[in-house]
Amino acid sequence: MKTFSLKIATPDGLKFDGAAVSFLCRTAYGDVEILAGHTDFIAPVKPGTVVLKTETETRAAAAAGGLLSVKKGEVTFVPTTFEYADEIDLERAKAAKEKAEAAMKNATDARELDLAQAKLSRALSRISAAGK
Amino acid sequence: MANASMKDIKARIKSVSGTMQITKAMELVATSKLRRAKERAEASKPYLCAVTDAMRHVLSTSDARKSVWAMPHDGKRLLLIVIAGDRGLAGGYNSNIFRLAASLACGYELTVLPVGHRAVEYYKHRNVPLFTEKFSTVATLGVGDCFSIATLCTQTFAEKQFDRVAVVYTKFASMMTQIPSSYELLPLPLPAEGKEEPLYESEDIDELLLTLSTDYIGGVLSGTVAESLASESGARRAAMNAANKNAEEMLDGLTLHYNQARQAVITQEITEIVSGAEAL
Repeated sequence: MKTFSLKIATPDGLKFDGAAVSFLCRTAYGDVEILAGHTDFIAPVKPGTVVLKTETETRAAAAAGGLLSVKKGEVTFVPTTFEYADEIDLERAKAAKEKAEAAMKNATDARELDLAQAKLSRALSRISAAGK
Repeated sequence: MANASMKDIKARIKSVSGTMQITKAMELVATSKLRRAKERAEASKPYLCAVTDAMRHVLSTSDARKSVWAMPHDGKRLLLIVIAGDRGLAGGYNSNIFRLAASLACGYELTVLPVGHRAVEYYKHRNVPLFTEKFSTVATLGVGDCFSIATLCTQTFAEKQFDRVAVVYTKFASMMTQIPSSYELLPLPLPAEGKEEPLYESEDIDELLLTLSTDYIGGVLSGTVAESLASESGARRAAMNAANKNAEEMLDGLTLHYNQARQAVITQEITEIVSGAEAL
């Protein structure tokens, strides 16, 4: 399989730096799967599941926020949060989901609602990634 | 000092060595904290590089210049994020930061977002308006908090509450040198010329730039907070090291004086006994 160089950097450190076969993530325009030889591209990223395929393994992860960019065949993914499926604390994500749902019900203004919604979508993306 | 009694000198020696115990302990603590802070600062570097790169690329396209995030405002209201320490006893660490902040704010109407208890106290004392005190403890400020600050910055900038947003922090150059530095956050710093082809649907530029500028500011903040923490520990370690050396010197001098005073007492007693015996 043809590979491309992929770098995943978060504020906590590099999560992946090497050759990948395919990389799927949820951008603001919908799910996008990057393969080798992709044209130059830049897009904001929404909370969702990320699937990363290398020549030896396939790993799922939950990511939120940030940016996906392809420049001259080099793919850079800079999410605010990024956790591989096996690192996700499912109990914590479920608790966060319930808390966010409660906060949405009690939200008094648009800003609170936005915040709660963002929290909920992050919790949901973690829960769905953990199941993969 | 030469005439001081043995008892006085002994008390001085005791107090100096007590202080030395404290400074020694603080030096050890700062050294171990420094290692952790340095690791964190290094971990956040690739992220900052990648975001800055993407940012430069998007901003070099021509329509990015017209976006709300990049257009310079006319006013003179400055929001300055000042990252100082929670505690003193770190040499010139805190005062250097405040000096740089003052020179940046020259000619501007200043509002401060203090990070670190020292910054809160300093600006409160000088009656500078504080934007929020929610982020006063720098030691526990996480990545999430940095992104909350970033969201606050972009929101208030878009609502035209401020005309310029910048951050002052201490750059960690090496274990011995820490340099107070600053980053311009908003309006987004534009590269000199715009010639790159846009890689996105052009109507998305504002959404793209909103995500990007929040990420950029959040990334810069988490990087600068990590560097500042490393610098604070570095500065404290150096200050405590100097204090230890001073204490050692003082102890040497005091011990010498103590021995001299003791010898003088012995000599005097012998003289008294001898002259007493002669008198008999």
